[in-house]
Amino acid sequence: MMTDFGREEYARLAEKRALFITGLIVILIALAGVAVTIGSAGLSVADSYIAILAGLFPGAVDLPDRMVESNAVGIVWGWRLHRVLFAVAAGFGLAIAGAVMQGVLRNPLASPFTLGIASAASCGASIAIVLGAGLLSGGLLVIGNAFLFAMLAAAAIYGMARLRGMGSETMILAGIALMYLFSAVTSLLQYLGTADKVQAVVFWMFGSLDRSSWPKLGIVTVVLAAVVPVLLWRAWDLNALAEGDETAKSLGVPVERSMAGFMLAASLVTAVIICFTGTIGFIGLVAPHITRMVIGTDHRALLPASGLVGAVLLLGADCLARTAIPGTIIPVGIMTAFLGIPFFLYLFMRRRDA
Amino acid sequence: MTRKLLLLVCCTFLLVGTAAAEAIPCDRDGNGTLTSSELAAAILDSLDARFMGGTVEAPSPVDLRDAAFIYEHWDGRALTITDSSGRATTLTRPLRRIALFNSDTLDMLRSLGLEPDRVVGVSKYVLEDPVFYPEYQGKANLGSIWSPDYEQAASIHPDAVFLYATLSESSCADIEKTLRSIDPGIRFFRFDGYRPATYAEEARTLGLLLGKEEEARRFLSFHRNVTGTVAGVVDAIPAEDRVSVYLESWHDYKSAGKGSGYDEKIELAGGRNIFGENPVEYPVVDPEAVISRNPDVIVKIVGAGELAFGGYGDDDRSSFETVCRTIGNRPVWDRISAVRDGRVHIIHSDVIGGPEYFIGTAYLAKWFYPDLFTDLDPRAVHQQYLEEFQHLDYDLDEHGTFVYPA
Repeated sequence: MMTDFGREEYARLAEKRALFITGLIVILIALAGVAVTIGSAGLSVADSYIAILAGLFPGAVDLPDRMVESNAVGIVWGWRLHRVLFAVAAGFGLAIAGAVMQGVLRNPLASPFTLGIASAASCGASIAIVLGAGLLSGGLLVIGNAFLFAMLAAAAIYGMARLRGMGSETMILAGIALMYLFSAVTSLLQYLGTADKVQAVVFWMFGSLDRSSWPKLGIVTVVLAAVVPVLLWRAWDLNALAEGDETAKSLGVPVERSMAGFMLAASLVTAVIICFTGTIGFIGLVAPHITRMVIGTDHRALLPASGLVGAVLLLGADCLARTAIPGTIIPVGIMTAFLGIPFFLYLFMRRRDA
Repeated sequence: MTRKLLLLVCCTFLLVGTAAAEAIPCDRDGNGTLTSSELAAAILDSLDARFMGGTVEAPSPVDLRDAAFIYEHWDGRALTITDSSGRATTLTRPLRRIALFNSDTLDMLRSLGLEPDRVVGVSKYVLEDPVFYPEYQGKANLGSIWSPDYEQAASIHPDAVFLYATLSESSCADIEKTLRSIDPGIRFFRFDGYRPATYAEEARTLGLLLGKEEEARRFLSFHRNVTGTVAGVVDAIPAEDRVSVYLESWHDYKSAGKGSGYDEKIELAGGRNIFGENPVEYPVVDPEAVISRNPDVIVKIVGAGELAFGGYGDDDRSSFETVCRTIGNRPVWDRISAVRDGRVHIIHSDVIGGPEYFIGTAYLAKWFYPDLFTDLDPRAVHQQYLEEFQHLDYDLDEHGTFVYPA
């Protein structure tokens, strides 16, 4: 029975959630608005927006000579816009995947990194870069291998957990074991590779949005559009699972099947993003924690809010990465850590019950 | 979806723009060949319009300049160039705004006498080396092939971007794809500029592409003079008489295996690589294996990693001596013939790993067979290369550290 006090509390919480989510959306839009205006080409804010309009309505906008000279439309449409949107989509997806993994495994350390998915993707990419071996060819070789290995790792974890009995510890242990195995393979390849190939592997593993493009953004968006609504719809199951297997079972949640489904969805989202960007695993770990500290653990709100926090973090980090050292783009994977960890630690230290 | 469609429309729009520019300038009858009379008419029209107040429609100065180039260098026709990746590109205008991610190709272009003002952007490695590339300081920084700055690259409006043909192919393919989506008018050329097997052919092709055929011929005759001298002598040495060589890169015990660039250069200089059968390109070898194979000569390469000294910007020669001594002091290595006979040599990667490989190869040949190459002076070759072909005011007697013992 909910007392009046509880009702009031709940209403306050709901209000807080709504406020948090609205605030994030506003920040995200503002950040995106700034992000399309910054870059080493030195276009002015006005020129950047004129270029966006010129791309949307070809012929309708009279381009000044200086913008033709600086290739402004090409730069904004061929480079900045999809990069900004890709940062939003990737941050959103990685954070939701992280929140799902942490919820299902009831472990605050669960993330694509700790489960070996990120290192499997790195391993696949290294094999493509150093040995030139893989299923697909040409420009898709590295991407295809990274995706394939990430999914293989997820399947292996699932398989081992299946044999050994589904449980969060089994999955985490299996994931950590795989992570070491894949890292060892990557290290071996780096040891044997030529300097330029090792360089390429290292840059791939930094994680970067440099390789984004409209088609890649399209693929990520389609996968997110297919998976995220399902996750949100089943968020109650996550709440039940988070309370423990027995509680979940008694509430009528098919525990093993749900766990497998959630893990598959989270792995798919992660794999499809990091195969394009390289390992930006940190977002998936920290964004859900930050969100949980603010609005609590109800996955119905936690999932979308984590996604927004992830998008803000990644886009913010990318803006910094592109401007911190003029003329140099610091890989965004490095920047997310610089930006996210102090913020995370601040929240963590401020909380009395941490 | 609408956005994609619009982007497509936008691209088509741009493509139409470039397609219209595909005709050869001043080719009035549009038959694809610029004849002397067409060029003469264009020049006269231009003079008429500029100085005589003529009212005929005269070609723009850019068109006229390009037409003159095409007439002089390409026989008045469009030029189809096949780069080292096997891709053919047809040009109807000379390249005037070149961006190079590949600094090795820049060296080659410099050897061909390319005017620096035709280059608008260079890799960060060029900008980090003001001693060797003084005239390119201040050009736009394109970053590296692993971390390119696309905005810079697009904003300088290059008409051609040069990338590697066989180095980091996936990174180069990414760069090409992204830049093409920003500016579909950019042409891409893949050259290596440092591989012995394709070096001469690349120089010839680039000479034609840039209208520097004569310079290319002169440079290639200089290059052939060195490589031919070495090859002529070492070809006559029977396999069993060839000196055995252990080559080590700047990482201790990291050698060169079958088919690697360094293996190829040892062979060019007439040596026998003691790890030439190793299937790994750059294997890390067991020190015991080196001792048991007992090489006649040891060559150590410095200039990167922990041994990042020497080269054009470093006049202090003592560090090379230290490296040489350290090799002799490795446990039990004093039993190796090369150490015992004082045949341990240090060479900087600038003269062996890149476009100057033929200078390094000349050094190797002289070290391998000092009696057969008494007349070969690699240092003089190096000096001539710098002065005559790289157009640098750089005196090897006063500056730089490239080999030890000198």
